Amino acid sequence: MTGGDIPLSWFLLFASAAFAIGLFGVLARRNAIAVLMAIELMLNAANINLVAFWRYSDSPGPEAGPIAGVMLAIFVITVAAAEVAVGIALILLCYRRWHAADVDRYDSLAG
Amino acid sequence: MMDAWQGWLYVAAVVIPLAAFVVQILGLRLFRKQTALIATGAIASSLILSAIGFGSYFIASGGMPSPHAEGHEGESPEASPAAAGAFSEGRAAPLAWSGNWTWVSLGRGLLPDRQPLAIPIGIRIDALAVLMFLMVTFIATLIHVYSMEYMEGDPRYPRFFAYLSLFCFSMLGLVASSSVFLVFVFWELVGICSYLLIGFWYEDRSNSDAANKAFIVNRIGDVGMLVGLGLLWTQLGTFDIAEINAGLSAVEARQGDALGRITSEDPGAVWNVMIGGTERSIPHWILVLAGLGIFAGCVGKSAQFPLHVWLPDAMAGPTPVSALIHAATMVAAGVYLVGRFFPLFSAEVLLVIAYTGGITLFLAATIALVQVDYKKVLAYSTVSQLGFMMLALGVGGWAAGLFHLLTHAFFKALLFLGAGSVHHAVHTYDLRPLGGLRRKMPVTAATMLIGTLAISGVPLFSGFYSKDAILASAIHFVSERPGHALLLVLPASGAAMTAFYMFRMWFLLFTGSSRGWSAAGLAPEHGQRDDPAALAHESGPRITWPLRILAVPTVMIGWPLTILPLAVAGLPFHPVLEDWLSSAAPLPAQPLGSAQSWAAATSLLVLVVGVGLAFLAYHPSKTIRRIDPARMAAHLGGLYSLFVNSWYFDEVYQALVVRPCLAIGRRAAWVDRVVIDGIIDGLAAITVALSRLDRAIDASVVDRLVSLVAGMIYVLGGVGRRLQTGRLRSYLMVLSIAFVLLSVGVLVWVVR
Amino acid sequence: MPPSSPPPIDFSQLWALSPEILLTLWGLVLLLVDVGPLRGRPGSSRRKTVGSLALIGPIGVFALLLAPLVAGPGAGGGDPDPTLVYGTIAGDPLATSFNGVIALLLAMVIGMSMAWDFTEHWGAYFALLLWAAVGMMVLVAAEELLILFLALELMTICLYLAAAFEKDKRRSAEAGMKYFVYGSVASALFLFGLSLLYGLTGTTFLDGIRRVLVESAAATGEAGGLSGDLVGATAVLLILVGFGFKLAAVPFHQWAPDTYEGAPAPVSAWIASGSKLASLVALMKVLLHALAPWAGAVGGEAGGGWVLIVAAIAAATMTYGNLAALAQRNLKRMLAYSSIAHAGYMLVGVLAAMVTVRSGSSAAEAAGAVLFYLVIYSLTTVGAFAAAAWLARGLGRDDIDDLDGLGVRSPGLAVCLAILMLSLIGLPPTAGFVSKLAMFLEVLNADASARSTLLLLVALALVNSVISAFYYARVLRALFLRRSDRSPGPAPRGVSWPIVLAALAAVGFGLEPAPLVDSMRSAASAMLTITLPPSPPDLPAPAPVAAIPVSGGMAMQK
Repeated sequence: MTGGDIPLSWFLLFASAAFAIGLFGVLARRNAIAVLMAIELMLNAANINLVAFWRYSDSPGPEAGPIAGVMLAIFVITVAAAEVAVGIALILLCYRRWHAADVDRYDSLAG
Repeated sequence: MMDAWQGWLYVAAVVIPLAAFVVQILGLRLFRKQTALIATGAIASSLILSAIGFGSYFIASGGMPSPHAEGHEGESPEASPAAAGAFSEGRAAPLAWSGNWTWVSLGRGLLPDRQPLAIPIGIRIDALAVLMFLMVTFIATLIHVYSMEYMEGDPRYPRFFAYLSLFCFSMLGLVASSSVFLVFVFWELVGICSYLLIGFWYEDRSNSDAANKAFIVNRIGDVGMLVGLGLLWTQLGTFDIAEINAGLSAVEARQGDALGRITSEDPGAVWNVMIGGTERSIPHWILVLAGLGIFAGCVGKSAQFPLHVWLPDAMAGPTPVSALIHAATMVAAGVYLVGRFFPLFSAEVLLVIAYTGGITLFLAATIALVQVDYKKVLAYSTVSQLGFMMLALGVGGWAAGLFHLLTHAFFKALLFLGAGSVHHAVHTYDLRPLGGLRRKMPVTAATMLIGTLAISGVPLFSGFYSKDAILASAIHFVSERPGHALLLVLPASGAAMTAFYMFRMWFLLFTGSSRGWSAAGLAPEHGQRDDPAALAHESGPRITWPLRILAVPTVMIGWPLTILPLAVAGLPFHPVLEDWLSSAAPLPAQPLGSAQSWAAATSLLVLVVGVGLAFLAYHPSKTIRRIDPARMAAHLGGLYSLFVNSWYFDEVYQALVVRPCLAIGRRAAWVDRVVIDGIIDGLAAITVALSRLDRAIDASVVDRLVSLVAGMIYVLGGVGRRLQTGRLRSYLMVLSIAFVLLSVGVLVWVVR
Repeated sequence: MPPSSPPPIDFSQLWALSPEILLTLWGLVLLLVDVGPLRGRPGSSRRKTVGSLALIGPIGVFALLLAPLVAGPGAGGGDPDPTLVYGTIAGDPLATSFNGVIALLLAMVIGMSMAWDFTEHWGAYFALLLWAAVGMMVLVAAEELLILFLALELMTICLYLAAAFEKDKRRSAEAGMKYFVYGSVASALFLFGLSLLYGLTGTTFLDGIRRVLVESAAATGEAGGLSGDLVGATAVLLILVGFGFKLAAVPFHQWAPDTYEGAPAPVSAWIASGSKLASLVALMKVLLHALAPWAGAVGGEAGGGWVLIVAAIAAATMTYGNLAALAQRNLKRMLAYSSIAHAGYMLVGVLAAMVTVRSGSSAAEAAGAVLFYLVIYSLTTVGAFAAAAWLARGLGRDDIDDLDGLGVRSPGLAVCLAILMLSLIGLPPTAGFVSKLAMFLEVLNADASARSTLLLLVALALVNSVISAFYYARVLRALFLRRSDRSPGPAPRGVSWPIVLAALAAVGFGLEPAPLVDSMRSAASAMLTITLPPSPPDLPAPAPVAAIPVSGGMAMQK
């Protein structure tokens, strides 16, 4: 089972880079929506990994079972969609309370 | 599986107070006044059962055992085969009734070679337990009666008796338990009762603080105890005290030591111990560690240095509680446990025990010299006497230490109850305005005089004999190990101080004439009239009769002769009780030889010094009184203030332990604010600086402006800036940093 | 890559999943009832109606769990093979017993929720609680990483929303938001670790991963494991971060105090008990079963690595949790730090089980003790949170001082709360004591190769449990030693029965722990020995995808 001319490591590096960018975004951005987007980026980086690993695997062993990486990726996409929906709902709720979508403003609980 | 009917007798004696407690708690509103009767009835029936048990034991064990006759034949069935095996060399096993059940079996391990994790419960009644039962129930019954009058009119009168019943159950359970595990359960239960009763008048903040202090200090000791028990369990695989004792008494390392202790030059030496038929091994250093751990628990419970600070404060509870729990029974449980576990302690640990006891008795005695609160005098005196007991155990005087435990229980309970009677009449604990109460309270004065004579060690009173026994053990030990002469100096000087402060207290309370608040240069407490003793009168019969009754054993239980048919021929001056105890000792007693006569001489000498000084300083007659205490105090100067302030223990603990702990507690919650945020903001500054590049590409101008300002603030550093916690991004930064640090840790190891 | 066509799903297996299915459908029913027949009714009446209806969910689960007992063996899924749906989900004693525990906790949480009106959207709220329970049940049963991840997400997404459900309270919205963002990041890290693990082993089945790791270790002839395996180590670490978030282990704990304090008390209770319970079971499955061969690489205790990292996390978790709890005034926040501390204790137990696993023997005793501890902790902590619900209902706030004088006003419940506190401290004769004792004794009994590390951890745990006595004692003092004019009033039934039930459990399992310990031990043994269903013989041998070298410049096969 070949994966074309692009070696697997390229995909993995790309995924790692996307993941790092996502993490950086979460840490650096104060806008809640941007944070949400960064989280999506991290999830999708993992998806790239999953799909790439699936595509490059030789053949499924008995351990692999019927669930392959690509199916994992599809499920992760749906989970990500659910997370976005929940995230938007929470952001709206917080926006109504604070009139701001700045995550640094939500700091009434501390200590 | 109980091997004798007497065992059930004792089970009943333990359980009856529990049943009484349940009834009282459920009917707290229903019974009101009757709760006192229920509680008293319960403990009185336990007393009767204990007395029957005592008589039965006396008969079953063939009368009073001769102390030095080896190979006494016990005629009743010996319960534990392990115990029988261990004592087979030279000594027949003393009679003991036992019953063992498995409370919890956490199942055999899934693998066959694993020992099952079973938690046994059981009772074991030997000579020591028989005596302890009689002592505890006797004193507790009297104190119940006493409390009926003393606590009269208190809004929580029924609750008080319910707690007392719970305490009696826990204390009797502690004495009867055969397994370490059950001992620990009851150990905690008595602690909880003590906590509830110290804080009984919780409206006063200082009382609930005292309760908390007692609770917390005891938990510190309990950690050590748990560690010790855990070590023992992993090494020996049993919770049964008799098995552990039997195994450890037979360890061959005892042969090499003149005092019969487990000694080893090599901490790595491994002892083979027979536990219930299987051979197990325990390294010497683990044995030492386990011994120290268990002793730590006893240090907490018996208020030994350096954990003695809770007991004086614990006197905030009602006086009957002080008499029962914090003088006669619970605080002695630490001593009792050291006695129970005696074979466990190796030579090093015994030395630690001896010195702890010595230091405690000396410290507490010096503090008691200068207290102006007569209940505090008694409190420190209790600490000091407990130190005597520990010292006795530490130098190998097993019987002497436990003998003193029993005599002390009676005379100290008497003294506390007398103090309570005084307080009942004058409503203050301050010695200074009082005086001349002898005429107004003749019974209290007389009985307290008996108690004072006993604790001071006047011949013919019980305290003399037990203190004499302790000194004899100490002299014997020091003659074997001259390097440890301090272990004789400390108790001797402590005994002298005891005689001094007790007579001081008695003189100040009962002789001369009442001084009044103003003469003492004080403002009256709680708006009392100037002379607190003006309206004082003798307390009612329910207070005075317990005092009278307690005075009898206070005098008598140390005597060489008792009303019992004895076989003590040849030892006319040897206390019966001590002989009885030494026949039950887990290790054969050491012959003391000439130490006994030296001890008698020493104790008389220190008695004369102590009492003499007290007469010179506090006797009401001008012709005898030659020393002015105030000038003496001035001479002592710094030493005096050291004593008055209890050697500054509370202050030192406050500064060294309590404050740092609180500070750490507060800090820990604010670590984010102070430390982590500092780091984070430094890193965040870098992140944000980088992110400006990113932001330049997207977002609105306003956003960029805001982030630029934020970036500036970050870049200027979190230094001096008041930082808020609760920010999500700082949390995530912690997460990332933690991940990176952990990764570095793992990768360094992986790549290595 | 065409997957070999699997056999069709045997629908009789769905019987074993009936609790999950029931709760899922019942959540939908609750939603419909709330927007349908109850439309326009005032909030408090809908609260009572929907809440009572919601209670039918866990009761139904009990009925389903008890049905095979009544019907006799073999009536329900009496399949000797404990795995379901191609081996992705286990139907073993672990899953069954924890389904029961989760249903019990759910019933208690529902009861507490019915105490006061903190929201208007009762249908949605109760449905979320039920669906979170579904997530927990699947998480406990998951035998495959995708199912595990989906269950984890189902559980937490429901909880994110539920945490933000308290109307008119800023802190509730903030709690939900923080929980969500922190949780999502942790999920992403977890998923990335999962993807790496998939890449390394070519499978997502826990038992499959175990087999591949065992075989590759055998192939290289080394002790196997992680040494030199940079990617594997990263994957393990990422997965640990994900679980660390769910367990609120230091340093991944910071969301917990804020979320617990801000969320409504029942939701905090649900996060502290159910979520932690299910996540710890999943963590144990992954670490003790799937990744067990890698534990062997750790070598002696000086070898560091995984064992030392978990040990450091455990030590930091219990110490930090206890110290921080000392300074707290708010009951829920205090309980949050207390739950962090308890996570630390349990990690010590997990560590002992790991150490035992790597010595080759079955670690079921240690793991069983951890499960026992977990169940006892969950029950008592839910009871303690019920007190917070009581205060929130009566006074609108939940500081420890608000408990003042309850010992006089409601002596019965105060005694029950006192029992719970004693159990959380670990004093005999409560179950908290027995569980601590059993767990720490098992830790001391664990494989000797890491004894000094474990002994140190146990000693530290004991010191910590002493420290914990200070802040739990503050609750006791408020209950019994203080007076106050303000009273939260008599406890509603929804609050009182969870407290009483938890206290009864604390005393009952303290006096008679053997049945629970035994069932937990057999659950643990099932957890550690579960295997994939026998595979069709025509499939080729396993092949890990990538033997990724340390350098990261992954030399790839074509």
